[in-house]
Parts: sequence; structure tokens; C-alpha cells
Amino acid sequence: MNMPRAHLLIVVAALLAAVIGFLVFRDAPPPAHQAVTLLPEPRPLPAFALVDQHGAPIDEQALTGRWHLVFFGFTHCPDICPMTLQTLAAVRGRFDGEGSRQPGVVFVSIDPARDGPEMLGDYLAYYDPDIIGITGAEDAVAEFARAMGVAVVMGEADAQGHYNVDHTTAVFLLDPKGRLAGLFRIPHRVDAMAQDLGRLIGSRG
Amino acid sequence: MSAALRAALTAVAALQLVACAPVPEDGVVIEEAWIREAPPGARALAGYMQLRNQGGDPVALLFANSDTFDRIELHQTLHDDGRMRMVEVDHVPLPPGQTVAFAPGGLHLMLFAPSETLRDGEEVMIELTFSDGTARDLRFEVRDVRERR
Ligand SMILES: [Cu+2]
Repeated sequence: MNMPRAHLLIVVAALLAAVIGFLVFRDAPPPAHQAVTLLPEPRPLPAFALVDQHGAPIDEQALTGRWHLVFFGFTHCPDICPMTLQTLAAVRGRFDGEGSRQPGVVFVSIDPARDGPEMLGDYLAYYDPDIIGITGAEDAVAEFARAMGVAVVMGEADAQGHYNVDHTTAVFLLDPKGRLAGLFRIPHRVDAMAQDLGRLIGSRG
Repeated sequence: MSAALRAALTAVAALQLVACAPVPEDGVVIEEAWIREAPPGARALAGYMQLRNQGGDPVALLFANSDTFDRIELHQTLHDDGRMRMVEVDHVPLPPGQTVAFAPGGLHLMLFAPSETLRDGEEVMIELTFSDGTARDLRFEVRDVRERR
């Protein structure tokens, strides 16, 4: 074969680049997660005894058997909470038809005085009827939030009785054993969250 | 020109006058005014818009009012240290030549206690009052912005 010299040089350069690439990237770590921060070791979820949006008792045992995304919020929150619920419902939607691989979404109301089961049920059904809503006695909810490390600050009520609740925006990730495995900080993006989850579920689901 | 035609032309001219009236050339131009559709029964909604001060003087947005809501506040969502909070702001400065966006996760009109459930495509009038003494009636469109599954 009579290959012109310039072509030969290109072939040699390409081979060299391939070998160098192999040597450099051989030991590179697997692609990093984009959105999730995993705990070094999963931690047991704090025990709780609360009620769901149907008024039925619910405890930490309910949050096992699949991965769950847990968000703390309140229904009188028209800006951030809808954005987060929308995102989580969309992430869940990416796993439609995948059975127990599909992550569950959990919304814990940190404003149980206003968010009774019925209110919570109507609110969550708008985003996805399969979202698990959790509310309950004020002190029990506050205790669960505290145990999860969720900062909650109840605002002063104004003349009309309206108040705000400052709260943590992170979304907690529970593994199928119901343990706290990691968290997603803002901004919450559907693609990045779904991709990270797909990888986690694929390897450990 | 027939009387009928004259009447029709007058009506068209009147309509144009109405359509043009709310946007004075050197005043505050408001675009993209919308309200996030909320779940049924929601007691607080959020409204968004873009305000551009085309004039040469600073102006501020002071109040918002509407027959459709009990009360409207100017709110800012703040993020600090992984926490979210909404605070009421006294007024929103609109520096000359600049655009101020009311957008998700930031400034919003906090719309308390709607008189009815508002659905995608419906329109709501909100009156905005500015520091130069002017007030404007603005049409907000209700939008369902859920991501489809
Ligand atoms: Cu607000």
C-alpha cells in the first residue's frame, strides 16, 4: 500500500492520541452525579407517627420498597413550593411504567395548622395524585422536621392571620430501605435529578 | 361616507384608542403579566410580570389591588443557607432604562384569597399604583405551567 506521507502522519497521530487518552482516562472515576449529594453512609430515617392526605396513619415504614424524594413545604406557598412539586412530579413521570423502580414523592407539610389532610389532598392531586402527603399534630410534625435537620421558622401572623413559614428547600432522597441516602439542593432540575436517580436505581434498586 | 360606515370607523378608532392608552411611550411598559394556576382551594397565588421604565426618572411600584383577591402584597423570595423565605417589600424601585422582572423564585405579586378558582386561560385585572401618582389596570393571564407527564 502506497500511502502518502501526510496521511500516514495523521494515522500515527490519531493512534498516539488514542493511546494517551486510554492511559489518562483508564483510572478516571465513573461519571459523577449531577444533582444529588450522597451521604457517605445511608442513615436511618427518624421515626414518625403522622397522617397522610387521606387521614390514615403513616409512619417511616411506609417509605420503603422504592426510592423516595421527600420535600418539606406548605400549601400557602405559591412561588417555590409549586415549582418544586412540579419538578418532582415530572421526575417521577420519567419513570412511568417502571413499577417499583419508579421513585415515590413525599410532601411533608410544615404548616399542619392550615394544611389538614383534605386541603393537602386537593393540593397534591393537582400535581400528581400519587404524591404522598404527610401532615399531623403540630408538635409531631415539628419534631419530625427537626429530626430531619429541616429548619422551620414560623412567621408572625399579620392582621388577616396570614403568616409565612421559612423552610429548607433541599429535597431528601430515601433509599428502598427507607434510609436517608442523600439530598438534592436547589436549583432542582428535572433532567439532572432523573438522570442521577436512574443511575442510583439501576445500580441499587 | 354613509352614516353606518362613519359609525363603524368611529368605533374602530375608539377601540384603537383604548388598546393604545395603557402604554405611554416614556412610562413604565409592562409585559408578560401572568398568574401561576394553583391547585383548587389554594389560598395564595403568585403573579409575575416584567416592568421596563422607559422614562428618564426613577419610579417605584407601590401597590397592587384587584377585585379578584382579598389582598395583594409585593413579595420577594429569598434563599439563604439552603432555606427559602418570602418577605414583603415596601415598594419595588424601577430605575430608568432598566427592566425589573417579577419571576418564579424571586419577586412576585402575592395574591391572597382568590374569590374563585382561577383556571388556565382566564384573565384577571390587577391595578398597579406607582410612586409618580399614576395607576394602571393590567390584564394578567392565568397559566397552567405544570410539566406534562
Ligand atoms: Cu409570597
